[in-house]
Amino acid sequence: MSQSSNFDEEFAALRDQFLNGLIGRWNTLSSTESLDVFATELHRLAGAAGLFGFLPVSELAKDAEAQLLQDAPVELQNKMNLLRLGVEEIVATKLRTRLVPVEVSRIQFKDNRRRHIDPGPSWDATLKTTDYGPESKQ
Amino acid sequence: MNDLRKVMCVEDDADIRLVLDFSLRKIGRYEVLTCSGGHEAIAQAPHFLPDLVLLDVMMPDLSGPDTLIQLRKLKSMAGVPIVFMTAKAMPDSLLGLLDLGATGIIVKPFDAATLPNDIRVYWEHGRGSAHSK
Repeated sequence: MSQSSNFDEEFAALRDQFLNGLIGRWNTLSSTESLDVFATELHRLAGAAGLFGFLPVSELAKDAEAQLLQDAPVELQNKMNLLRLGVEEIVATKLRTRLVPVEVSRIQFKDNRRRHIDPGPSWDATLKTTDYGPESKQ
Repeated sequence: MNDLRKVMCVEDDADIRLVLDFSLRKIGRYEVLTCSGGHEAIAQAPHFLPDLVLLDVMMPDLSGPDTLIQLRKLKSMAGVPIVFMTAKAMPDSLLGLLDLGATGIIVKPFDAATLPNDIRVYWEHGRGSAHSK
């Protein structure tokens, strides 16, 4: 076996490991109320997805991180909806699953105000293809 | 310090640590120590005695810049090149990292196949001089 094919195989194994852990990463994002945990997980997802060649997901995660830093919850929610679709797409290369939406309104922002996010038309549009049961909207 | 042999990688993401270890150990044939955070790196550095440190910028327990400052206080780390890894490509923030005394910056996502050679360039450029800033 050549050195390059050996590299490809071993790198593919690491990429599979990343894909296997993606649902866990997403579950952390969708369940945390901590701004710090949310920001850290987004940043890690951006870095790891890019490293394994999933550049659209990496860019979406970076965009979401930027919206988070700019304190723009509506834009952040839109990015998270797009990011969910992107993550679902790459997870689908390993297994068929649907991910729980991330509701940014869960996050405890630094000023301790709980943000009210108007779901808006784009939010509803992204949910038309999925069935997660009743949405808990504030 | 005659050759680049031992590399310490400080990165909080487990998947990225695995790729760093794979790339540098398997391809670069370096001796590699991976640390999940700055505090661990500061504790391990005097024992591992790395020839070069790859350091993530954004980490939850201790940031990359703060880790660099602490590492520079260790006698055994004098002159050891420290290279930041960051996804942030804003020129101003990159210059700020160099002003801290970093030898260089590798922008994420890096190429696992070429990383061993990339860090060698930084090592040859930065050995013995990084501490002079």
